[in-house]
Amino acid sequence: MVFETDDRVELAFSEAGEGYPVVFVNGLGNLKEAWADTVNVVSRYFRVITYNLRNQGKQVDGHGDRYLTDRHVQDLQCLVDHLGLPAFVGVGISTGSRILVDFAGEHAARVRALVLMGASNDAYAERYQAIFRTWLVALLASPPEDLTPYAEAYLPCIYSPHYLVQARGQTPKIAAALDRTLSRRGIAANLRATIDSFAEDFLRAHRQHLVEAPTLLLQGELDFLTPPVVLREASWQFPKGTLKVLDGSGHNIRVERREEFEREMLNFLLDDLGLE
Amino acid sequence: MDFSRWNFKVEGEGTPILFINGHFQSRSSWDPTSQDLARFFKVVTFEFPNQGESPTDASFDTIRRYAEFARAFLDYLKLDPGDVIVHGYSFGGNVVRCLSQDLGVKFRVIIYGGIPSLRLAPFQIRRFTTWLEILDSCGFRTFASNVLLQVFSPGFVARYPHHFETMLGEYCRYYERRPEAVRALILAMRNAFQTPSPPPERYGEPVYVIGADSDLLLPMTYVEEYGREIGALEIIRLPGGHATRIEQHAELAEVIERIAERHESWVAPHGV
Repeated sequence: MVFETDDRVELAFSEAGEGYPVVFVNGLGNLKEAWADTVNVVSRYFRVITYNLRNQGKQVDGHGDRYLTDRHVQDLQCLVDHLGLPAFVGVGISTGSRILVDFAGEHAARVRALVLMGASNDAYAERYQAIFRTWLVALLASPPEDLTPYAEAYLPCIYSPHYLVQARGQTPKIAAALDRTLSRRGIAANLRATIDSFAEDFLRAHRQHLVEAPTLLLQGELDFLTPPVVLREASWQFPKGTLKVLDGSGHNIRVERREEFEREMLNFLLDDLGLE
Repeated sequence: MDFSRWNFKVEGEGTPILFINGHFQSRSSWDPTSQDLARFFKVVTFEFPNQGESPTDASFDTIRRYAEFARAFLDYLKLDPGDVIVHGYSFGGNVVRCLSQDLGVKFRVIIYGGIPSLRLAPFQIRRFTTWLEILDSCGFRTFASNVLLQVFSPGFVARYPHHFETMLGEYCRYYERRPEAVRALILAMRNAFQTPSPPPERYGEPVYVIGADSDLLLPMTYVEEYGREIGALEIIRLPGGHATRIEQHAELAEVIERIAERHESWVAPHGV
């Protein structure tokens, strides 16, 4: 299924289950299908919606390469408008978490609760920009049909040492999967959007708000991008937030600790919030 | 080896403290720490081949080569290792480990910094393979950015972006035109972790281990494991990232001074 954004871009989305709506928001490098195992679990209790951000997928569908992450926030609004959702629970990872935080700032009444994995702290903007610029350079330097250098640049940032060891033969396969499912131009567009959205004036205009919704923050103990101690410094932004640190996990909790993430999320939504 | 024109510095008087560089470290990067300690001790800093301003030698691609170089350098300075308090940081820690465990050199005290057990080999090999891939495919500047973002704590990079850029510029100045030197340094570390089933480490001298609580290159948990494995007298946790000599140079100097004072009257069992 597809929905159309306000600037006439068609983005793919999927639905499963019934009940209170839960919208999953992707990280930079994954498509909506990456949530499949979690959707199977969560859709027993909730109506689960997954979608692709613009420029995710082989077809470049971004209507231009220079935009900021507020464009993703608008796209999310278009999705929930298309589905007629007065309110929803948002679940995000990494960039997806950032999009949800920004959405909650602009449309507080529509956000019932948030589950955020790998959230960020804007006080470290310079560092995030440095990291993502490195990824962008590696992406642009990767040979045709071989994203191994790009994969080598970003994988150590998102996985724990233990996981990297387990996956040590997998880098070429991961690179091949990226090349099959994403376009370089699309990855580059979203990387640039992320880099540019850490600029001081953008942060001042868009990201100085509180998140009023109850929020479960899940952070890997060995999250390279935003170590838990760094995220704790941003706790002011989440007055109804709870931070749980997952021992031994890297940034990509969705992969490294999927079952634990699902358990924490369902406990939060079903037990703590009484949502069904 | 002719050390007479080599890049090294000896300052101060007293119990000798020898600093052994991390991977891409220059001699002068120890200056804030060494100048502090030189008030009370004889502090020795130097560079290996392939580091800083020192010549390139691609044959230095094993830790053992660097350890033998360090041993020869101590002979040149006429320093008895049994009198020396040595601090080996990261790559330098691996050199000290080789000196101690493979070459049988006995120091007065060993202070390891940012070093894991050899049992962490799969992770370390993976890391250095990644470094080589990025160096070969993406150019030196991207490689250096990638490394420095791991070396420095998030807070340091975020709060001192100009210092980060300065370090990046320094790395490029030393190494951009000689990737073979960088390659040799990386290969040396990767090779060090390729010994299957390394034997237990045994130390006759006191050993200390220093780690940092925001170390992204080598999380503190691995440093603590190593410290327990080798029976370290003390496992010291400093704030900040992997590059303690930059982020916490005053604290590092204090720690080393404290350790040195504790062992100043201890005499190494020479010949053991």
